[in-house]
Amino acid sequence: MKILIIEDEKELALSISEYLSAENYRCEFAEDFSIAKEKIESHDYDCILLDLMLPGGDGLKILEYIKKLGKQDGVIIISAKDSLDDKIKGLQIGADDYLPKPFHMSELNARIYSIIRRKNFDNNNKILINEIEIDLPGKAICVLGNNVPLTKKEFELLLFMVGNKNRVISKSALAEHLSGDMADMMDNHGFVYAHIKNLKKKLADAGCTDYIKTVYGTGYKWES
Amino acid sequence: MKKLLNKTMMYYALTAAILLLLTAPLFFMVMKTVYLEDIEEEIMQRQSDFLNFELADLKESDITNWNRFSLDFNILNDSIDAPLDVLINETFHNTNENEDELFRVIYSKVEIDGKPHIIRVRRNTLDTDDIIETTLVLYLIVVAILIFVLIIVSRIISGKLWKPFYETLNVIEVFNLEKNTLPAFSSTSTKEFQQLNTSLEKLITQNLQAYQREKEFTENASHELQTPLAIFQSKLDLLLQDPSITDAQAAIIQRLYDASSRLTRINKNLLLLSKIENGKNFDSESLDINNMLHEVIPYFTEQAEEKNLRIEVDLKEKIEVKGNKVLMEILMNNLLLNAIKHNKRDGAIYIKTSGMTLSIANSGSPEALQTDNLFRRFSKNTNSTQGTGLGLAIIRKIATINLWQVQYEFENQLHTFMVKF
Repeated sequence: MKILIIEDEKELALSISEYLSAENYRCEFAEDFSIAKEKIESHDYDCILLDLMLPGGDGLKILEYIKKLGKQDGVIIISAKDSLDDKIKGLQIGADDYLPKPFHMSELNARIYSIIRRKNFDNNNKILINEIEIDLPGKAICVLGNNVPLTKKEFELLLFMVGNKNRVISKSALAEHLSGDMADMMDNHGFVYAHIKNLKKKLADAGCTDYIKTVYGTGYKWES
Repeated sequence: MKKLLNKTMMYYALTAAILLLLTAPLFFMVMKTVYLEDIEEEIMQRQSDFLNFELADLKESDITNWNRFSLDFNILNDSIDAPLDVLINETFHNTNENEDELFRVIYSKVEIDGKPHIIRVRRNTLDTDDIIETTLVLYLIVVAILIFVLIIVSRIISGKLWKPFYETLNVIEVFNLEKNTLPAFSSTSTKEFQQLNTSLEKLITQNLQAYQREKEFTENASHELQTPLAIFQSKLDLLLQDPSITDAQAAIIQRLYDASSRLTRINKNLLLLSKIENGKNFDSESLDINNMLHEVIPYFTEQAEEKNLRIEVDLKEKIEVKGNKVLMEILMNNLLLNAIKHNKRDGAIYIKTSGMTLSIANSGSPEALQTDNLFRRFSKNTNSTQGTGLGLAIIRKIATINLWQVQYEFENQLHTFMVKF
């Protein structure tokens, strides 16, 4: 899988690439407008991470360019401008997702994961992980062939952990993922624990191995 | 407070009255003197007329008749003992009015048919009381006319001369820094008012610029902070993957996460606040408050359960309000979050709508909050280190741009925030 990181902040680009390399993604960098254009012209990527404020031009112009070329690359806008206008405009032009800075690596990873899956599997989008079968469009799971009813939050949690499997996910990242737009408000991550506990119990009751591990008391990890 | 013009007029009237009163004795003296001179002249004239034209023809037998018809010119016997040929004061009794009256009198010696006689010419002087009375009446009339004229004049002045001033006053009164529009002052031919308008325009322009710069600064600073924050957080995420981390180090990492989350929240809230302040266009639509509350409240039940809080919802008649949906959600979220955050364990939250008012009350600290700076940025009332210090500022800002009112009350041990739409 090839990812293009269009981002002028070198340190951030490096962090992203380092985190993603563990998922067997190959990352390429473009730190300004013209390099980005050049790379897009000559290569295909599974996912493009696009910063909107670039030296040499507006990131939205690049997005327009990608669409003009008729490319199927997934695009996630990563922007410091957390503005609704930009988000709407970006999604209208054809970005697949919009992630305001700062974001957690695990969040970015989960979103890339979800976009690549969507692009590659379309409707028959089922993830099989050990004895668990996750039906993405149906938002349901089966363990050993049996349906396990999960709440919306538990399903999101499971997907997020599976998308970041074998990585330590911080409580903050989980909390922000689960509370979505409300994340800006929440200053209490206690509820994450409650959801994890419920999810673990439901999986265990269905006869599933306990893949969710608590790490250093700071985060959680899906080990498989 | 009195109007400037009324004040001016009052001072004028007062000064005029005092001045008139001070000049009253002078007026009195002058009146008296002039009158006295006048009657003295008349007396002398009468006397000289008599001596020059009438004396020669007068017989002694005429005297009785003369005296009968001439009241103020008498021919008396020589036996009168009075200084001659000088004007003197003398009191005579007036039988008609039964009072003594002061007269100016002159006695002179004349010969009629060879016999010596004394003639007496007299004129009634004005009674002092009468003069005072007349003066007073005169003065009262003058003062009344003066005040009346002053009122009329001040009305006219206020209508004409001071019109530009009051126009300027009206313009400044409705001026709002946050609206970011330079008020238009009408031009005037009065130098001082023109000067005032020019100075005000300059002052307001500078203020607007400073305010604009301040707002832009906050927005730009918040934007600029996002990237280093993103780097910081990404490095933490990487660090957490290191399998050699000890528990103690992990605890430190957790603290760093907490700090970075808080920093992010403060930054985002600052950005939101400055966006609202900068008058970013927020689409307005019709919002059903009760419906929105029903949508928003479930997001908080988890947090509320953690503190074992009881949430009582009492939504009466439907409230429809024009506003931006996102901002309205933020306002509700902030109110609810505060109600949870500053609550005590096993406490309660009461969410109520009635009329056009949404009120959210919560139990919590037994003392009322200091209201002075409650809605200002970073004015923290509690010693909680959790909040961003911006929640209430955002609530008020959202209310202000929509012309709603936000109030805080502390009653029956409940902290209540009310939004009047």
